[in-house]
Amino acid sequence: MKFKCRKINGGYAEGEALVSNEAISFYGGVDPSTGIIIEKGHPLEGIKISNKILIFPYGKGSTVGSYIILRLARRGLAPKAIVNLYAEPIVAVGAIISEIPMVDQLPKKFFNLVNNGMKIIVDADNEAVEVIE
Amino acid sequence: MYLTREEEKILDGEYGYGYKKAMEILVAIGKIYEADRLIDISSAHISGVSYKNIGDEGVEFLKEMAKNSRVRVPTTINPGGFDLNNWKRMNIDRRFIEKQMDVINTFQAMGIKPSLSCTPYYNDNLPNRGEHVAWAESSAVTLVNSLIGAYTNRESGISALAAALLGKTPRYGLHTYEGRMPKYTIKLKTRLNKMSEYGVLGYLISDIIGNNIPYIKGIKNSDIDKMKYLAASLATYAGTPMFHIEGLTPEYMEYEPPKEKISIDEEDISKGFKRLRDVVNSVDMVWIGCPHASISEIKTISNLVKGKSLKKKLVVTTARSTYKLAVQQGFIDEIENAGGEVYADTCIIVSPIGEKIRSIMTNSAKAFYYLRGVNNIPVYVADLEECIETALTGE
Repeated sequence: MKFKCRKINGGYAEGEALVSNEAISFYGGVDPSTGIIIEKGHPLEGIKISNKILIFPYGKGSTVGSYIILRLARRGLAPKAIVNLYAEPIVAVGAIISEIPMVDQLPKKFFNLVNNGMKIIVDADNEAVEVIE
Repeated sequence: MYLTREEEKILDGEYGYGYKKAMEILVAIGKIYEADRLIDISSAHISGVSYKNIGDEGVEFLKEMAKNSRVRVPTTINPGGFDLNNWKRMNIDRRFIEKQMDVINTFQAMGIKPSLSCTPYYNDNLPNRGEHVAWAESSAVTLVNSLIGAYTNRESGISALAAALLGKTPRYGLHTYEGRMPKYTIKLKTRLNKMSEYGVLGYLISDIIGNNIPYIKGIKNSDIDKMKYLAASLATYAGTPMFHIEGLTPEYMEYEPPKEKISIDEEDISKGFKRLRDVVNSVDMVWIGCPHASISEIKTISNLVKGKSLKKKLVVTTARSTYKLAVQQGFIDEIENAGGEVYADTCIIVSPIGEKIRSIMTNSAKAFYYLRGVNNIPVYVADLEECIETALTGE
């Protein structure tokens, strides 16, 4: 099933979905040396975000978070693509400086449908996300 | 967002990598906040300067941006990890010094002034009323929006650098009349005299209104130092980008006082102080200079310690430009002769020296937040005079 979206940073990626219903703070919330979510009580606590299509509502926390995304990318630990409900500047800037494809503003239907492990295609340049069940 | 042909060319990479990345960043932010276009700015101020905060990846990123790129507007930067002329006494290790100098040199190669201060508005970079600028460092953002009447959003270190390289910023939020609209009226029912009380006031207001803009009534006279502590607290505790004060700040007459009203009285202020006071059995260090101390604060400290001998470690942090003025006036000698230490270019939070301290007394509500959060130590907030008294008596 194909969905329209808005491009925040260009690029193309295919991979496995990792879905969080809660916001993610990269600074303090993700370990930059492992790619594992370390925020206490976070629904994805203990889970590795590396090489996934990371789907979450929006970023939160300190603007240093942009550098954490870059740090992950330089170590090969970043997500393959980022899909947000609403993009905000911390994650957007992080994606741009790290060359990670990023889109937002997908319909609610997409978030109802998508689940961990599903195969996802993010075609940011053409503002489209496809879910292959 | 509308882009001119010239801006499109930058985005396509015709002027090189640094400018292209900078344009991608501004376009993405413009898109997110539905800006209509980019507007010219007259200055920029960049955070994320201490190597302690940005790490190797940050240094690498800055170097990539700096290749063949120069800033288009006067640009200043936040404090780094040590005093450039006095790193020996600070006992900073060689590797850190090399990394930090690499960061500063990279900024300088882009044409940026190594002001190394969180209070650029005192000497180094003072915008005029009505000018659009792109500043990071949240306390300075709130100060120049409110007291100077310059227009800036709360930029991150990276977005401020992008804006500096292009001399532009997306037009939305604080760059528009609507984005500067107050949401709550705060009625102050007590007279504030001390600088630290303004920090507490900002802390209390943050609690109530979140990152909305307050319209404050009841502050009759004030000065830039007091406003600095109010701005720093509002920015730290709630992310408030601006405040209006009836009869005082340049734009209050352009807005009606909001209907939703909140009162703050003397009792609230003293309760606020209590919440900013951890149990501290023995004060390890007394620190003044968050945000960086002004020339008049340094004068006050100098007068209080003149000819005396300090019993506790007293550290004052300030801008290099302020430090030079204080040397000329003899204030630095008086403080150092009493046993105090005055450092420029840095502060306790962004310097590695902060890691060795076990407890701090300070006059800054902002410092309370970061010292507990970043350094994880107990902190006690009191007024400047009380802090110096403790440093003198050891009690």
